Amino acid sequence: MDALALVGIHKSFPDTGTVALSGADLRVARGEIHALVGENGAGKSTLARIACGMLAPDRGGIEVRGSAVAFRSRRDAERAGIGLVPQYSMLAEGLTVAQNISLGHEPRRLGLFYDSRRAEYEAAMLAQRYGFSVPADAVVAALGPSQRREAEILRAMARGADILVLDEPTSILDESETRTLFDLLRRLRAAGAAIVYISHRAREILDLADRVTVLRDGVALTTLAAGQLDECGLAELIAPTGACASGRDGASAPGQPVLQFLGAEAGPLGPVDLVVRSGEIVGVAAFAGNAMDTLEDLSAGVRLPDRGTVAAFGLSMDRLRRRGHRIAYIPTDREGRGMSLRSSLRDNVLAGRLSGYSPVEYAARKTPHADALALAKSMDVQGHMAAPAEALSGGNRQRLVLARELDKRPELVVVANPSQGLDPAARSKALGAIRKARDQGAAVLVLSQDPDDIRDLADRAFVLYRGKLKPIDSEEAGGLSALLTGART
Amino acid sequence: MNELCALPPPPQSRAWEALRRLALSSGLALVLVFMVSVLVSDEPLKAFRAFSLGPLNSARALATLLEAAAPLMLSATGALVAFKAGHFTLGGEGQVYAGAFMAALAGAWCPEGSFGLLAAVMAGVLGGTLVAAPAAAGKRWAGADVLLVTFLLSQAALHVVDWAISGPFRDAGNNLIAMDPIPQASLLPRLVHNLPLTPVPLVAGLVSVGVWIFLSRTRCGTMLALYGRNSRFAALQNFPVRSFEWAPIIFAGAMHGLAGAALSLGSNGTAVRGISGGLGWNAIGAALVAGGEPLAVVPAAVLFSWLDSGARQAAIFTELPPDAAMIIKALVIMAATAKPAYTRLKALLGGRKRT
Repeated sequence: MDALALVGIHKSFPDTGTVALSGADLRVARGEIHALVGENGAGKSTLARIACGMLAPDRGGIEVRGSAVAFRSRRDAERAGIGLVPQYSMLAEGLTVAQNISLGHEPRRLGLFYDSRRAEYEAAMLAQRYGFSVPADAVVAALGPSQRREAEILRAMARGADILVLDEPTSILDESETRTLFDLLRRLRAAGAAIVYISHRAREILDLADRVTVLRDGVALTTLAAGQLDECGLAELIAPTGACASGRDGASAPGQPVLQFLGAEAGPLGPVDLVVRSGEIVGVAAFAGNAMDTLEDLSAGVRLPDRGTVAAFGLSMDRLRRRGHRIAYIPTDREGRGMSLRSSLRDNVLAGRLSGYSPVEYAARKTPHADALALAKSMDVQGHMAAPAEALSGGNRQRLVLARELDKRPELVVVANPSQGLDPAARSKALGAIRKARDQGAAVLVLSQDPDDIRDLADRAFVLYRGKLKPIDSEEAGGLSALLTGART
Repeated sequence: MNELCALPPPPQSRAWEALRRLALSSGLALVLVFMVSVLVSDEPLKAFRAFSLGPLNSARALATLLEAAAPLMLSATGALVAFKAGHFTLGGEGQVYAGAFMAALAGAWCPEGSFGLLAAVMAGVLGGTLVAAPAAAGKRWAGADVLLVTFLLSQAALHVVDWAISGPFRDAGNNLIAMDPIPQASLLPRLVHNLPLTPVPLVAGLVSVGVWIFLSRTRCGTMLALYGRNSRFAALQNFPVRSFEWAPIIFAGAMHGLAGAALSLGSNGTAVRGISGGLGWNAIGAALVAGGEPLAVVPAAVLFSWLDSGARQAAIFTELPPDAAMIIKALVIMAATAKPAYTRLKALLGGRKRT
């Protein structure tokens, strides 16, 4: 008997004209980690939200432990033993872990007063039972991403969940935190939990999952044992486009310095000395919390250094933007800096090209509309030109930003976490586009928390650790993950 | 075929959404008028008829309705541009009042005729702009809170203009608290003999069309809308964000001032105390009901004007309080701007399945 079965699920969103699921199936057994994979926009998150009662299917059935159920809310799903660990933390920042876990089910003294001791004791017992390390009395705001994940899982388990749905749980975790999470999930599996694990990362899936269901265009393409697959095979199943090919092209020799850091210091960063030349990709790998965001801000001209200089094309960054140099910036904070969520997909895609149209050409709309379609297609952005960008999935948003920024034929590219939210095929395409920019003479600075990005892209690589840059040679780059982990410890 | 074209039908355009919103708002207003008539009046059918049809039952009534709606269209269009740029300006009332005052001043002082009219209109625009200017400058150079500064400036302007109209600039020979009358030759001309219809509704309609063209068909308008929704993104895209920080506030001030000039140069013939009569606040409501669509401002303003005029008509013929229009307007604004309620109503009327 399946712990959870979703059968023939259909779901569409008329407001945005999207058909998310067209008869998708998913069956998860007890004591199993079941990976749900697919391209961006394949319907993974929609299926997960239906399983957790956050969305109602248009058609199709849900069975929990063999019994048909109909969820009207997330609470219904929780009562049926299904817990969700969302992609981004939904914990109350100002409360303790115990308070978050007991939220809505608070233990009370004399039936009236919140019993904080009992809440903390129960949370601590639960954590101990599953071998979690998060302290029950810690305030969530003070926790790192990994411990927040633990708290999210504990909250689900405290409500009696034995079916867990994790939506891209490692998207904000570094490698060591990911390993810790995997250990926890394996312990939960051993305790009999059924776990639905949504991810793009082929390596993770093969490392963790027992079975894999591949979603494509809203239907379940196939379900296979993870042992039957290798990384390339899985990537091909997700998107059959030769996604495994990601070899480094022969890069032309680097040219003139374009972006220069000279003793640049800002907050926790520095001093940093770094030169990025035209026709080369310089990669900087770092885990979160090592001043990576400060380095990104300085590179993009969002922030000026406290001491030293950051210059591009020989000009300080504050004066640069007024001189009309073509700079592409693909930020980590995609929604805050990379797009206008409530504006249309068309306006977002064309934002980088607007000044290139004559007033008459723009008013006629024909050419801009055709350009927007072509640009969106160049990165396989799937969505309607008139729909607001907020209707796009995370991966499609990343593609949109990449398409727009790299279309500028930039002289300087600053790209942070280029593959965030991308499936293997889209990642391969995105990295290819970045290499192409390099080959066309752009100076490219890649900042990433994903060692694979640096390994696959960089001509020269650095590790950023505690605000200091350390160069690594090509042999070390192969073992970048280990190097990063070592640097961290 | 392009794969994007193969996707399901696109979402409805914003203009269509705005029209639907207006149709629903009008329907809701009618229902509310009926409910108020039943609740308050001894003759509910008579009150409902007077309220709903009174403003439409003659050419004169229709002309009055349009003439009353026109300043609101101008103000609401100005407010809408500011909202599009992400500036929630609350200064409309004071800016309209200042515009009316300056127009009356210039109209009375300048030579009679077309020059006097033109000078009065320009002075009205200047009056609104002057009240908006400190907020625009504060935003541009000091990152001031537009909402707070425009509100405070507006309150100050209301008191100053009140003092000016009832004090040094009062026409001593007038029973009303009003300024010197503007000569007939400097007032807005009537388009049709015996009807109170000036060119202002036409101008207001053209301004709405112009703003629609600007926002939907020009690069600068697109940039402004993108800026309004994410100023940080706009700055990183190298848009002229410095201009967007102040220009929409000034434009809103100018439009409010123009609306004030229309009030003084129309049937009032000068600036009387309290001439703005809540126009600045109604403009915010009309802009919100229009859902950010400049063309929808015209019917939204007519709807508001119809409610005001209807309430007055009903008060004459029945015992319905004239302030009923305010309550209905407030409820219509709430319903039109409360997205969940609007979505539910839309789904109910459109027969769509809610997700």
